[in-house]
Amino acid sequence: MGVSEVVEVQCTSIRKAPGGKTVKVDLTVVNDLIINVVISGDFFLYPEEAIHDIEASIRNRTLNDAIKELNRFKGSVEFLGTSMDDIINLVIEAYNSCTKG
Amino acid sequence: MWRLIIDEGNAYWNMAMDEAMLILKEQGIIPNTLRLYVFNPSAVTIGYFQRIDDAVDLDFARVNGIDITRRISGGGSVYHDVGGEVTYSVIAYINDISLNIMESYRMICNGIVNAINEFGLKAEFVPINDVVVNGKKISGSAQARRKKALLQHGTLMYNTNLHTLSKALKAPKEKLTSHGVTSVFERVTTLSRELRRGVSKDEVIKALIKGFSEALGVEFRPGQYVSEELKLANELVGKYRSSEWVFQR
Repeated sequence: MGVSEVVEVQCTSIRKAPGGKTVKVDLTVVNDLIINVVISGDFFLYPEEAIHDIEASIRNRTLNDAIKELNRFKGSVEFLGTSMDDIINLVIEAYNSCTKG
Repeated sequence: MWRLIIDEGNAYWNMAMDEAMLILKEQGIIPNTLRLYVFNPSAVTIGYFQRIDDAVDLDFARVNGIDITRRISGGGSVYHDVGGEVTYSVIAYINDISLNIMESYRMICNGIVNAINEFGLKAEFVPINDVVVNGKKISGSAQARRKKALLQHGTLMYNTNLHTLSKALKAPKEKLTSHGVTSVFERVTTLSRELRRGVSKDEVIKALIKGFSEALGVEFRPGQYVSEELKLANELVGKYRSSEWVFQR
């Protein structure tokens, strides 16, 4: 039985919505699994503390599972200056740039 | 009748008191309040969701004695110039403003618009949270909410040193590009710059009181902090000074 190589990659995706806010997603991916994520920027989110639950929900998830988790927050949180779909797209973008290399 | 409080303090105290007032408003302990205050010494506050390295030039702030703390509200980084900026906080029941978040931003920001109009300038609210004069930002606001209470705080620049502001704050390239300009001097302005005359803090405070009174349809009575506010703010000051809070992301 071979020992699989652990490859940790960090990637960032950033977007400024026209007339909106800047949102940045920093991902750490290990062997196709999202190990860490920070969603940052000058947007607004209500309730504010939900950012920690949102980030925690996609740690140690594959991309597909992470997207499902993020979609679960729709309806229970309110963004201004960005949206959950924006964040999902940024996660996908960052993940793809992590795994393509 | 709302309470009016005029204050001055460092960044840690100012943010601790804002949070204390939100908590105590949520508990029904304090009246709806307009708080007008100055940051002394000058400071940068960053939004709750911002990465500090993306928002502030830490070396510039350290060398120039500019305090830094993180707000409980979202939004962007703000340079609070001790000699050129007044910060406001509105602490109230959500039901007394609006359940709709965007509408509550508009209602409260209209206080700033009215205050600027008092100076003979034409100000405009630009959603989500900006007030502009002649196309340049002169005020930004941020709102935090609990179940029953809201805190909206924001800045009105009357004589802010824009050179220092441009050095202290890091504006993302994406933001500058989307605004179609590259210089902070093209994006941001102050009352004294627009009026081409000196403007005093007292003039600004007077205009803000009148502006918020008209915007919110309320009258203000000068008041003091209650003991619960002072106690809680003193307990919260340490959080706002701490690396764990300021550098959390």
